[in-house]
Amino acid sequence: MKNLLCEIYTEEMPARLVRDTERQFSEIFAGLLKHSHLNYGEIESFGTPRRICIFIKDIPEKEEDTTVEVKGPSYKIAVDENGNKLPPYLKFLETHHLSESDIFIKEIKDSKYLYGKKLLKGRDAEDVLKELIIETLKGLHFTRPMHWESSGVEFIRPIRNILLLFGEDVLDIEYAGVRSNNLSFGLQIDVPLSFTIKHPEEYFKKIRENYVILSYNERRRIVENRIKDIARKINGVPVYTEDFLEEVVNMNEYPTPFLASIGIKEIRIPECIIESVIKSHLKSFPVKERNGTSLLPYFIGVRNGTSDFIENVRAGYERVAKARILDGSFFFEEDKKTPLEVFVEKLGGVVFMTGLGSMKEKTERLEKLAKFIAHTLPLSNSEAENLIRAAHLSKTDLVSNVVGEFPELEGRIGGIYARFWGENEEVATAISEQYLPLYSGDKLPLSEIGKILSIIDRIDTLAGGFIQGIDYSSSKDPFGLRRIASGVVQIVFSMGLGRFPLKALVYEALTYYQIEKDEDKKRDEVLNFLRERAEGILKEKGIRYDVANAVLMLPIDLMPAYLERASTIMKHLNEETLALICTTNKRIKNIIEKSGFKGEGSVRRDLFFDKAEEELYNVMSDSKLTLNSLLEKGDYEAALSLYYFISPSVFKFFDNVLVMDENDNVKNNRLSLLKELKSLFDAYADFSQITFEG
Amino acid sequence: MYFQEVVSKLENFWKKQGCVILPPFDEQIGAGTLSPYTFLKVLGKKPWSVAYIQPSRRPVDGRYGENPNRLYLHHQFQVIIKPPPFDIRELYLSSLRSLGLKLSKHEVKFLEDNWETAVLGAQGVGWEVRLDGLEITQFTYFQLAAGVELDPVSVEITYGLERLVLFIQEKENVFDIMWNEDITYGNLRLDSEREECIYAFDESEVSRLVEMFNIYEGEGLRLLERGILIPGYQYLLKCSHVFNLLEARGAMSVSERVTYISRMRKMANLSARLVLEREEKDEKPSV
Repeated sequence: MKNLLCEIYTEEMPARLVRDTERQFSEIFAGLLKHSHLNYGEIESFGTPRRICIFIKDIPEKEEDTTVEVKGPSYKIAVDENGNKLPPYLKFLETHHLSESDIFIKEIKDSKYLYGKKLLKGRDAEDVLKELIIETLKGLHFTRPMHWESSGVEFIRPIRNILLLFGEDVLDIEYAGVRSNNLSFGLQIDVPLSFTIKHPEEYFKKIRENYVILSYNERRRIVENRIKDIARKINGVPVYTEDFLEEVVNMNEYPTPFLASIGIKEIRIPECIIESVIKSHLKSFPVKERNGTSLLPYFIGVRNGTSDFIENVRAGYERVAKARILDGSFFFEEDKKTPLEVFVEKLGGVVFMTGLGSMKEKTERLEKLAKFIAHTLPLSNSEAENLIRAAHLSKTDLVSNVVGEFPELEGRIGGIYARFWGENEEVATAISEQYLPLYSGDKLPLSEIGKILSIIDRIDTLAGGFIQGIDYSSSKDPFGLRRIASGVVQIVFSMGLGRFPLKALVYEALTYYQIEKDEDKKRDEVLNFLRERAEGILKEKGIRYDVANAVLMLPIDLMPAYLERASTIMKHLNEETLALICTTNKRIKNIIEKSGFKGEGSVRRDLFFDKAEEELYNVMSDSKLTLNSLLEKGDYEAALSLYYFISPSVFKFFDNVLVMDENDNVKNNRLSLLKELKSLFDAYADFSQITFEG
Repeated sequence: MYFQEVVSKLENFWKKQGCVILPPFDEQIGAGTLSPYTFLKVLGKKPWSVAYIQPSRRPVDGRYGENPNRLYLHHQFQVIIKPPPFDIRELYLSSLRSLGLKLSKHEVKFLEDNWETAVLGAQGVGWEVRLDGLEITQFTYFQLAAGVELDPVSVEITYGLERLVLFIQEKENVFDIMWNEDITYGNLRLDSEREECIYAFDESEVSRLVEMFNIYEGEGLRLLERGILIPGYQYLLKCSHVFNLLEARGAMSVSERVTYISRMRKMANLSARLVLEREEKDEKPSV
C-alpha cells in the first residue's frame, strides 16, 4: 500500500475559481478511481492560487485480479451431437486464452451458448494512476480556458510543474509540455524556491515550512480571525461578504492581514466610494464603527507573505488608497456640476444590451412601464409621480464619472445625486435601491417605490433578453437573467400583497420591443422562467418540493402569496388535518376526472334528492365568502381550518349519494356541485400535488 | 531611479532575452497592442520577440494636467514574445529586480484581468500585476487576434511606466516624477497635456472628426484592398485615434459607436489577412 500525491503548480489562477478547480480535480479523479479496480483510502484535496493537490491514502500496488464472462459461439455449432468439440469451440479457447475448465454453458432465449470465465490480471497501480491523472486533467472544464504552449492543452492558467509521487516513486507523465517530477515550490519571496519531496507525507511538512498554507479553510480561518482582531483593537468591525472573503483568501498562499490607514483627514465624499476603493481596488477590508454605521478611517489589507517588511506593503497600499480616494472625490465634484437631465440625454450613448438599443431607450420604456403599473395596481397620485420620476432618473448615474470608475456603485450614486439635485426622498431612495437584491439572500429594497422600480427594471431586461434569445443556462447566462428573475421573485415574496399583476406587466413589457413573431411563446417563456425561479427560491427557503409544486400551480399573479401559503402547509405536514384536506380534495378530483365532466352550468337546488347534497351545498355556499376573505387577508391558518371543517360534509355526501346517477341531469348537477367545491380548494393551492408517505 | 533610466534598464533587460528593441511606432496610438509591432506580429507562426516604449494617447482619460494620476498621454513599455518562454513569469519578476526592487521587501500579486479589444477582434487571458497594491503591469497571453485563434500564442507584458516610476520614486503626483536629475515629468509634459485636453474636449469639431475618419478609412481600405499593408494599417491607426477623440467628445450614439468599431474591425481583418497570406508565401513582412 502506498500513498499518492499530485500537485499541479500553475501561474496564478483566478481567485474566484480556485475552489471550483480544486473540487473538479478531486471529484473527477475520485470518480475515475472508483471505476478502476484499485482500492483506495481517504482522499484529500487542496487548492491555493498557485496549485491544486490531491492526496490519496492506501492504494495497493496492483489492481485486483478480476474475472469476466466472455460469450462464445452457440453450443449448436461448437459441439456436435456426439459431444465432440468442433473448430469454433477450439477457436474460442484460443482467442481468449481459455482452457476447457473455464468453459460453461449459458442459456439465452432458449438457445445455449458457450461462455468462458476469463481471468483479467490486475495492472500495476502505477500505470493506472498515470492514465487517471492525465484523464482528470483533460476532464476539467473551465468557462474561459486558455492555451499557452505547443501541445495545445487547454487549462485555466499555464501549468508550470507537476509533482506526482506514488510512495517514493515519481510516476512519469507528460502534460502540457511538463514532465512530472518530485519537486515543489514554496511561496515566492524573492526567487522561486524549489525543493525535493521524498514521499507524500513529507510534502505537507515541507510546504508549510516554505510558507504555503494548503488548506482553504485554514487560510480562511486565519484571515477571518485576524481581521476581526485587528478591527477590534480600533473599536471596529470588518465589512465583508462571504464571496469577498473567499476571493481575498484565494489570492494568497500565506495570508497576513495588516492594518492600514486612509490618511485623509477630512473626507467629503460618500462613504460608499471609499468602501469601493478599499474593496475593489485594494482587495482589502473596510472597517466600520463597532456601535455605529460609519466607516473608520482605516482598512485591513492582506499581504501574500509573512510580516517581514510589511511596513513597505502597508505604505504602498496606503498610497494607492489615498490616490484613489482623491480621484473619487475629483470625479464626485465633477459629476455634481452636471444636471441630471444632461445625463439622461447622454444615456443615448450607452448600450443596454446588444441589439436592444441604448439606456436612454430603456429609460423611456421604464417610464412607460411605471405608468402602466401605477395604473394597474393602482398607486396613489403621489406614489405614481414618484415612481415615474425615479424611473426617468434611474439610469443617469451610469454616465457619471464615479460609476464609470466604480461600476459596483450604480444606483447608490444615482440616489445621492438625485438628493443633491433636490429630488424628494422617495425618488432618491428608490433609485438607490433599484438593483437590490444583487444575489440570493441579499437585502431587498425597503421602500415600496424602490421595490416596484426594481421589478419593472428587471421585467424589462427579461423581456429584452428573451426576445434576443439570450442563453441563460446555468453555466453561461452572460446577463445574469437567472439572478434578475430571482430578484423579481424575492421582491414579490416580500411585498405583503395578496397579488401582483406580473402577467400583465410581462405582456406589457414585451409589447415595447418590436416582436415580429411568436409573441405568445415569448410571454410563456418569461412567465415560466419566473415560475422556475420561484420554485428555486421556495426550495431555498426549506419548502418541500411537493408543497412548492402545490402553490406553483396557482396563477402567477398570486406569487406574493406563494411562500406564505406554502409555509403554512409545511407547518401542518405531519398533521391529521392536512392529510384529511388532501384526501377530500383527491376524492373530489378523482370523481370529476373519471366522469370526464366538462359542464359549466350552475348548481340547481331543485335537482337535489338527498339531504347530504343539500348539506354540502349549504356548507360550500357559507364557506365560499369566508374563504375568499381569509385568502384575501392572508389568514392562511384559518383557511386551512375551514377546508378541514368542510371535509366531513364531503365525506357524508360520498357516503350517501351516488354521483353517477342514471339520470343525466341529476348526475351533471352533482358533478357541478363537486366542481364548484373543487375550485374552492384550488383557490388555496393544488392540494393533489402533496404526497404523504406510506 | 530616474524615468529615463527605468526605460533603459528595461530595454537592457529584454535585449538580453533576445528581444529587438525598437523605437515607438510613429503614429498616435491608444495602446501598445495597436502598434504593428504587436498586432501584426502576433499573427502567424513565426517567432517574434520585441520590446518598445509606446506613448499611448487616451483622450477620455485626459484631465488638463490637473489630476495627479490621470493623463491624456502616458507611456507604456511593451514586450511581446512568441512563443512565450516557459519561465516568462519568472523573467518578468527578474525585470523588476533589474530596476533595483527587492521583491522580498514588497508584495507582488497577480490578479485575474482578461481583456478584449473589439476593434482588433483580439482577446487575451492574464493578470494585472500589483506591487504593494499598485497596478504596474498587464501580463497577458494573447489568445485571439482579428478573430483568429493564435497558434502559437504570444505573451504580452505592458508596463505602465508612470505608475512604476511613481512607485520607485515614492511620489504622489505624476508631474513630480524626476525624468532625470534636473528635469521633472511636469517640465516635459504638462503643457502638452493641457493643450491636448483643450483640443480634445473644447476645440475639436465633431463634423471635422467625422470627415477625417471617413477620409482615413477610405484611404486605408483602398490600400489594404490593393495588398499594401503598412500604409493601409497606418490609416487604421489614424481612424482609431479619431474615434477616441469622438468618444472624448461624447458625440456618439450607441449605433454609431457600433458602426465605427465594425468599420475599423474590417480594416484590421484585411490587415491580418495580408499578414497571413504573406506568411503562407513565406515572405517575412518587415515592420
